[in-house]
Amino acid sequence: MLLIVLILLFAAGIEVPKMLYERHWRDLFVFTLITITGIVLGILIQMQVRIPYVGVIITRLVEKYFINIFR
Amino acid sequence: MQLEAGKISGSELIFIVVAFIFGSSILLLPGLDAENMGWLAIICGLILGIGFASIYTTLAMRFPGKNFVEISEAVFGKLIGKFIAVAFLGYLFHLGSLVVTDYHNFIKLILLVETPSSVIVLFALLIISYGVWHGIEVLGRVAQGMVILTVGLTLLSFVLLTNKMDFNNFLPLFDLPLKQFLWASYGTGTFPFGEVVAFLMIFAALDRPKQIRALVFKGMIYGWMFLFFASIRTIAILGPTMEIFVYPVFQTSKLISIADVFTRLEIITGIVFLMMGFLKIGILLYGAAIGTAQLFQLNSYRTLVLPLGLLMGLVALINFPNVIENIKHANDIYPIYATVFILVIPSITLVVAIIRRLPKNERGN
Repeated sequence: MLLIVLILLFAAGIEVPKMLYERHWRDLFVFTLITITGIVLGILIQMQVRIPYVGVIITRLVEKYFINIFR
Repeated sequence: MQLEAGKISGSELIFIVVAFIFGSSILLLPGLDAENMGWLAIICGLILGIGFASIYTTLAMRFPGKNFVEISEAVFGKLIGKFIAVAFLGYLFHLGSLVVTDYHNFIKLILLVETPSSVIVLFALLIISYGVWHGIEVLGRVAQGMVILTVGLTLLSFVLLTNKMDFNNFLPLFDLPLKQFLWASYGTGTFPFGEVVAFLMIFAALDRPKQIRALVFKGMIYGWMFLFFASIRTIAILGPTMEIFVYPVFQTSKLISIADVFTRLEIITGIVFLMMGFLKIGILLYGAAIGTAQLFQLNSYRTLVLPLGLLMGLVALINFPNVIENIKHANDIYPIYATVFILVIPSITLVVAIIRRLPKNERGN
């Protein structure tokens, strides 16, 4: 997992100076937001923090509110 | 604002649609809920899928050169349009992560059992991101080669397995509760045919926008043909036992044996699965990246490809705790979840566009 975090940091190291130089603030903001989300998620998974499973959340929500309409 | 300078030809679009249909559906064969009637569920799924695709193509032809983010802003206005676009892009991103999960599980269970999950996901998404970074033209050209190879290998494995087929496995016909059959057909309509909704982010790059409908239908029918063959082959070979296998199509390939000399040819099927997965994830990542760039009015979508791709991979690792939950989601939950994005949102967008006579208004402005 740390490998993914390192690649994200590497990508940031290449892209951020370019965006700063070209003053693409909007690009920088969105890139930073996605990269930081990725880094935090990668670290949390690496630290084996119990993160709720995304697919399971959707499964439970659909089961609770929608499944009776369809079946 | 045009973020993608590249254009794809009509034939490239057909190949991409075929790869997209074939993608993860060859892994988790749709229509399995319909048991030995799975082949008929796939036919009904195509009819339903063609209906869905009519909505997308009508929308794309009303707004030529625009992707869904631009269309929703034009139809619903800036605020609501952006909100709908965020939901749609969220679906593309999550669908991409679901496909990555499918492939990760397949590789982890069958091919590279000892390899850590993060390594599988990392290297897969590095390659996919590299392809997507080069743009839609490259994906189109890659699709041509890969689909031709896939079709050849699929037909070869079909021929090599003909001696193992027992067509009595299709009997008894129509011995299934109607409700169960309809559910399986609807499931096949949403996965994989309804997922063509992702092409609303790609139609803008087509060099012949007037032919979108014919090209998409052709791609869907070709994709369906191979899925249909795969279903026929699987039912004829495995019969009722196919329900106990996680990857029934792969399981049938394991049975190839030519005079006990050429065996273990399932790796060919494995390669085919991976190639199609590469394209499907690539298309979804491309759609999510270009849509996000469009949404925030960025200068380029390319800077987002790698972080978004790796984030997709990370989300794929926290989608499900095990393969059983994944299959339960694919069979029972996904058709309902996907309905919002493949039917409700595009239909409402089209209806509002028709009521507001938007393309006419835009030309007038």
